[in-house]
Formats: sequence, C-alpha cells, structure tokens
Amino acid sequence: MKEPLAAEHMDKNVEICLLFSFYRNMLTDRQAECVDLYYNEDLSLSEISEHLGITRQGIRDNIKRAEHSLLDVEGRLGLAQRFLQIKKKLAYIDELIRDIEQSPNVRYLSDDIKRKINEILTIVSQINEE
Amino acid sequence: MAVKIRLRRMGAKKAPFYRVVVADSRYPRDGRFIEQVGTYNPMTDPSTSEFDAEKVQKWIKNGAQPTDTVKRLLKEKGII
Repeated sequence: MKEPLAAEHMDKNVEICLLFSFYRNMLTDRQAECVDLYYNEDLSLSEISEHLGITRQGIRDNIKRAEHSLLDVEGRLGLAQRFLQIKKKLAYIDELIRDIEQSPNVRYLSDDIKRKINEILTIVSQINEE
Repeated sequence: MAVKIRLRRMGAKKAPFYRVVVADSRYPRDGRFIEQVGTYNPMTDPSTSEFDAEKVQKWIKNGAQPTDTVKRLLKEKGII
C-alpha cells in the first residue's frame, strides 16, 4: 500500500471522509450509509445502530469493511492523492497571479493581458469548487 | 431528548468542512439543528476550529453531550 494520504496533519477521520467522497460508489448502500452517518454526521455507533435497526457490532463491521475498501481502492487508483497534489499547485498558481495583480508594474500590462489574468483566476476557482 | 454537540459536514464535495452544531441525534441528515456553535476546517495545515465558547459552555451545562471528536476540539481550545 502507498504512503499515507496528503499531509501528515490530516488525521484518519478526514482521510476516510475524503476517500468517501471519491469512492462512495465502490461501497454497498448499507456500508455507504454507515460511513456517512459516522464520518459526515458524527453519530456514534450506538446511535447509528438505533437509527438503522441493526446491531452496534453490525455497524462496526460495516464501517471497518468500508474503510478497508476505500483505502484499498485509493491504493490502486490514487485519485484522492492526485487531487490533493493538483489542488496544491492550483493554490500556487492563484498566489502567483495575485502577486502579479498587486505588483506596481501591473499598470504597464495591456487590457488584454489583464483580462486573461482574470480568466485564469476564474478557472482556478472553478476547478477548486469541483 | 438526546441533544448533542456534533460535527456536521458541509462544504464542497471533496473539501471537508464542518459546522459544529447542537442537534438532536435522532434526526441525522435532515438539516435541522438547534444552534450552530462553531466551525472546524480539517483541510488547513494545521486544522482550524472556531467556537462560541459561551454558547458551548451553556449547552454543556444544560446537558448537551459533545461527541468524542467535538470534545477533542474543545479541549484543544481550552473551552472544556
């Protein structure tokens, strides 16, 4: 299996949460439901158990199996890892463009170039929101 | 009534961001909550959280249970 996802500050919960948003469809409906309630809604195992009418142990098994699948798929495809790397680079592009915008030399730029700079910023933020 | 202080996931699809809300644990996902008392962003490095300490303490005094995750965040901030 690959190195842990992203920065080391990211704890396991966040990692699972992120992987879940990428690979939710790789899980069974029941697993997805358990993971959603546990990680996105922050319910306890017993609360989920009450809510879905299966035993606490059953919930636990579902979540464990789901986590395993998510990590396994990420190990094979690495989409989340790639997404985070791209995001980092996008942030850098954004920073560079804003530097240009704030530079005193910006007044020497033609309107056309300024328009293109704005367009780049728009595209960067669009990609970020996807 | 099981009133809890818990996280609720918000934000874009691939960028987890949470509200910290006071809510009844029996109704997950219906979007209802009693009050928002903070936010938590795990995607920043280090992660950042903000709380309305007064509200949080009031709710805990009135018997609202923070979840383990929320408890950890509150401890980090020295609120409990």
